[in-house]
Amino acid sequence: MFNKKSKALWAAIGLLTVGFVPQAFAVGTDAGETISNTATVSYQVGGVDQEDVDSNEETFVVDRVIRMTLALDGNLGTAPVPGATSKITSYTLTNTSNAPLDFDLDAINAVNGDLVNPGPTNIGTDDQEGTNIIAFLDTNGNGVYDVGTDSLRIEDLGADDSVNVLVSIDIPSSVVDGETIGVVLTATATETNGDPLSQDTGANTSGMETIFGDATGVTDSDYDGKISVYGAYSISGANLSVAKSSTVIDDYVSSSNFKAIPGALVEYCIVVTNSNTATADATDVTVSDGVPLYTSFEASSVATGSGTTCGSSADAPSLGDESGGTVTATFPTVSPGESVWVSFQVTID
Amino acid sequence: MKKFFGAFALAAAFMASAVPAFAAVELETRAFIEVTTTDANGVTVTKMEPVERAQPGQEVVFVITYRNAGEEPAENLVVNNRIPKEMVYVADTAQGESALIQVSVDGNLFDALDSLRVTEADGTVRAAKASDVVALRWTLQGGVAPGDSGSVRYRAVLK
Repeated sequence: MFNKKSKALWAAIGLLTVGFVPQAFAVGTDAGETISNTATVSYQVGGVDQEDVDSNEETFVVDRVIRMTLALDGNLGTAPVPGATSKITSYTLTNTSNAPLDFDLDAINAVNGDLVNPGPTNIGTDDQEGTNIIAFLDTNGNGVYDVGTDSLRIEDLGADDSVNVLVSIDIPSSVVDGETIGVVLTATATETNGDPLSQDTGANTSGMETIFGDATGVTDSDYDGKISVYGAYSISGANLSVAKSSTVIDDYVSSSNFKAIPGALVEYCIVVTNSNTATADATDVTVSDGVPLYTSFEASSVATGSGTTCGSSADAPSLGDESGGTVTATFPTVSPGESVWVSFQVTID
Repeated sequence: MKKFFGAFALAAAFMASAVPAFAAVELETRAFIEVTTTDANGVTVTKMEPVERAQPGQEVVFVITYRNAGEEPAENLVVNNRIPKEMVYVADTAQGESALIQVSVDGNLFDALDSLRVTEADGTVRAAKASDVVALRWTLQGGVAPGDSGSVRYRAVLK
């Protein structure tokens, strides 16, 4: 019982419906939109059709609800080693509000002892601090922070749009294998002109109002217009230990149980081990040891090899040598769980 | 238009006494939000408050009130309401005393929801769901006497 104009309109809508798959509205109706509803009644009096009557047009306005999500991306890339610079963690910020917003970005070190990463790939308790920590939009896409080029805030992120945010830190060389540097990334929604958002707490008005509808982050509360998440860097390092021992090879007096007497030949054995719990190869491992006082270096006695016992294997030629009273050996790679050794002999003066 | 029609009806009434006198049904649409509060004694009270603003996900109750402001009984009232396109009908919430309630998924064919079908973009046909409903129709049983009023209602959620 629509009037003629309505019928034409409905016919048009009917046609549109055929080829139109309704889309789920992820974030909802745009803020500020006016929702309008008008009913129509048809009726008869004494069996005669009367003109249709429209109701008033009932309207209300859609509020702006400030909501966003922030998530650490799953792919953390190669675990950083001590001393590494510009190590990146990646996050996805999504504006789930019903209006475009800007976001300020801020990254800080997590508090020691915090369980910094609830994700499956990199669970850890924060126990170290990164340096030169910064959160940014990688404007030029090169994966590192460029002062003056990369933006420290997100501008005009549309409703339901997402953006990739990066956090960069330098890893102090003092951290060791297995330690974790946690960071907290916070995104704070602002007006698109950069002004801070404020929630309308007064009486209802007929205009659009702003309501905070955001969830609780790791260091922020709900309904505060901001969201925070943890990121974490699990340090991948080598974990070297070194052990040195000596053995009297011959005292040229006894036939066994040789004593360290003048003229005796002594072998020093230095074993370097990369712990089997370490997560990185140690490369270019250089062992240096001075020839002790009151001894004389036995020419061409420097030997190197792999394993935990000197002499159990030997490199040919030896990876080490003696020069100016110091024995030096350099091993290209010591993998986790692997040991290498260097030995040399001296004569007691 | 209404005024003109009224004048026309009045003129017609003078010309032929068989044609009834002008009767005016008035129609009002109001939107409400149900607000539930708990008082100090733990008693919950649900109130209907007018909607001036709403956020996505808000359920709104639309109440459509009809009143016969004329001097003759009005009969065969059919109230039609197109659900605002930003809103989704909540299943089984259409109410109306002594009214046959029908829904439509295309604005043309009105029937019970479980009798309606939706044709998807790929040509497949499926049973209509409440979220497909775009319009509601209440066909009132019996007339509305002069001065009498009544209402129909339904709920919809803001997308």
